[in-house]
Amino acid sequence: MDRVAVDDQRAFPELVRRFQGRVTNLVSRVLNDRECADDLAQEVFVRVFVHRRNYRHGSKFSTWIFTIAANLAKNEIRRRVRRRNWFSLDALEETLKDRLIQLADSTEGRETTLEREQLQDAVGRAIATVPEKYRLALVLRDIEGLPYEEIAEVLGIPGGTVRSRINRARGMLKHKLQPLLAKAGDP
Amino acid sequence: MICDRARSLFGACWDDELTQAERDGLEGHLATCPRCRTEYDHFSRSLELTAALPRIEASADFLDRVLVRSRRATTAPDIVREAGSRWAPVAVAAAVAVFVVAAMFVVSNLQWRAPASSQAPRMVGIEGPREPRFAPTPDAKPGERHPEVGRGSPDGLFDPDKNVEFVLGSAAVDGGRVKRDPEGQQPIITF
Repeated sequence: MDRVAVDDQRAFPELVRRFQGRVTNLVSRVLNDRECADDLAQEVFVRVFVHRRNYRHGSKFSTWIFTIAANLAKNEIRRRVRRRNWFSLDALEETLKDRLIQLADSTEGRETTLEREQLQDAVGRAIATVPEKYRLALVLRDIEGLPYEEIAEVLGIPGGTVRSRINRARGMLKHKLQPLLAKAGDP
Repeated sequence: MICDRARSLFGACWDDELTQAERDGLEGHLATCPRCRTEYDHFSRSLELTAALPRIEASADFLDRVLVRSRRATTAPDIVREAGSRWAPVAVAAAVAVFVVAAMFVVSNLQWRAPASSQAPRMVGIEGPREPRFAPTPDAKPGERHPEVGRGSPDGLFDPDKNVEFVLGSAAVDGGRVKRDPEGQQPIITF
């Protein structure tokens, strides 16, 4: 990042290559929208480049770029809620239930690729139904594997609040996946 | 351990942040409470599914698109700077115009105040016969001055041998002889 800040021509592409996967995955999982996530992840790197001289050298670069990504993702979620051109949470819940019923009806013990994909799709949709502030903390912790302290820095909230949000998000996710989990747990 | 306490430890257990005593207590409870055991299984399974989600990779042309957008984003400040230099002469001209108008205003204001300052009392000397200021004493000889006449203070402003006139801005006079100055605009009081 220091080389990017002094306009080293080769440094920025290297930085993008190194972080593009994590940033794209984070934004995709928060939005559950692949197309939009790719565009938003690019915007994250554009912001990094534009504000490269504002990077504080004392903090971790990953914390800084995740902060930008989290803020852009939050803005996108709120924009969608305002414009209401995205399917509503209720509709999402219905879709999720349908998907879970399909999964529950499938033949046990034969986890085909299709079933696995459907399962992943169901989990992704379940995450997308968790309210925004809990969802971000959940994705940062349980998908990206960030420590609590770094999540607190990324989200700009105290560590205790991070733990509380993650606990609540995990509880919500368990509740949303309950039909699938209960069926899978039956003998 | 009660069920509520056990369930509050699920998150810390998953994060491997429990003390040994807490872990022993939780495991002991889960071994004897099937409901909490089921709850913990669902909890851990949902997090396993979340963690096992496949990584979503960036598109193949991700880097190229980022570089193109970054170039556009960095050219924007240059455009602003060029626009600024184009308007710079106009800004300078406007600043000069404002300065000139301000200077004219200040000068005109000073000229407007100038007559007012001329109305301040001023002392002038006039030629010609002057009136005696003090009544002659009974034993005074002809042509002899009154003793008080001409006794100016050591630092006096007035020449005792000359009449003194005060030109006032207003005609509020209590005593003395009032006349108009030659221009007829200001009253003149002679003592």
